[in-house]
Amino acid sequence: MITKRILITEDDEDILESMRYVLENEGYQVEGAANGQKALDSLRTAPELPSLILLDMVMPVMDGYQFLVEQGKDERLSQVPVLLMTANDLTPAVRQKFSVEGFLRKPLQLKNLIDSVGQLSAH
Amino acid sequence: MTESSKFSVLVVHHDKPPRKDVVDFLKAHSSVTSCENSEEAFRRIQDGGDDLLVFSADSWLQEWEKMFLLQDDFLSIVAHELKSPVTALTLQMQILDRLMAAESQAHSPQFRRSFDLLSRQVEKLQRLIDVLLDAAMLRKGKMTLRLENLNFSLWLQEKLESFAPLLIKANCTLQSYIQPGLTIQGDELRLEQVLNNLISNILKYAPGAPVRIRLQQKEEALELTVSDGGPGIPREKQDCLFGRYKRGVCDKKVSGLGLGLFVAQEVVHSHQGRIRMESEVGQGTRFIIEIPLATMKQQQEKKQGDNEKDLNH
Repeated sequence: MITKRILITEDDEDILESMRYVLENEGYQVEGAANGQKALDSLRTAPELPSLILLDMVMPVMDGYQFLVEQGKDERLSQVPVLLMTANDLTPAVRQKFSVEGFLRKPLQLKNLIDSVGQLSAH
Repeated sequence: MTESSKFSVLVVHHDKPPRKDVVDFLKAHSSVTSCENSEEAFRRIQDGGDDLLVFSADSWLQEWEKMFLLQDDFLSIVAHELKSPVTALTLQMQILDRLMAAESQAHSPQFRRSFDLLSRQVEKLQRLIDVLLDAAMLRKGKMTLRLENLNFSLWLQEKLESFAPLLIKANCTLQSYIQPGLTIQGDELRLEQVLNNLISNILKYAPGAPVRIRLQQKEEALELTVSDGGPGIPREKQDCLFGRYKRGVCDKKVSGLGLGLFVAQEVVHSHQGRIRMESEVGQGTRFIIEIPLATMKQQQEKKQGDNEKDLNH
């Protein structure tokens, strides 16, 4: 079985580490990026794209919204599904503007995290 | 009228105090405090100790509005900042919980107790943050509802069952009458908040007294009545009860942010409904919520939509 790769973009190290632990335990290969810019850099240089991007919205340097804008401009990167992680509900405007696959509400529930990642990375 | 029973009036003015005859008139009937400093005035208004506010210039009102908005922004920033550590904490708590379940070895009772305590406190922190965020967002009119056909009668029955242990713990007996089959267009999670807030008020302020809940149709709406046998709320406290940071009982021993009824009201209003309260000291308190029932058309449209969804799968 091929190991699915997931990119987590999250500025809080402890949250990132917790998520990494959970998802690695589920058999995924996890990469982390501390903000949108780092995520873009790593995606652009990666020989192979991840199956899914988990994206925090509030981050320094480049936040989630800006990342989505940049990702949309890049044909190759825009193929990767994105799952947002946010403290709020998504506004219909954001839903319409960006083709995100869905969102997880913070604080994250393990079961939701594992289920959603399982579903979205399966494609 | 004696001095102590006088109205307390706060006069807020900018560069120019109000006309002397106005102040004299006010002074004859009330105890007047004059205030030029907007921040001090803001604090006094927040305290809510004055019966009447007099603004001598419109510009102040704008200033006020700005201050309230600033306060909301601040609340929302604080709440967001608090979310990160709580997210990390909850994740780790859930990881620990799974690890403990997976290990065959039994943990000492104290270990388990400590873990449960941590979980409960993290949850409590989470709820407080949610309430803060909600209050800030609601004031900016940012509440988005996810409306669905909701069989309110069934839903209420289920919710009441889940509240039963808490009510028993607070020595409240529950009497309920639920008229079956009342359907509305509702946001389940938001409505749950309303019910939660009303019941947690009862647990806080009226433990040991019977609780009565009645759901019935009233014309084209449902009417939900939640009554307690608590101490009741004095008339003078009733008007501002749905405001933010307000409590009917001035008791420092009772915890909470005073936002529950504000949130409840906003949720009910956004369902095109109404909420009101009736209370008398010593006679308990009763909240009455009315929400329009879903029309036949709405119910059918929804059903059709569901069928289409099924076909697509």
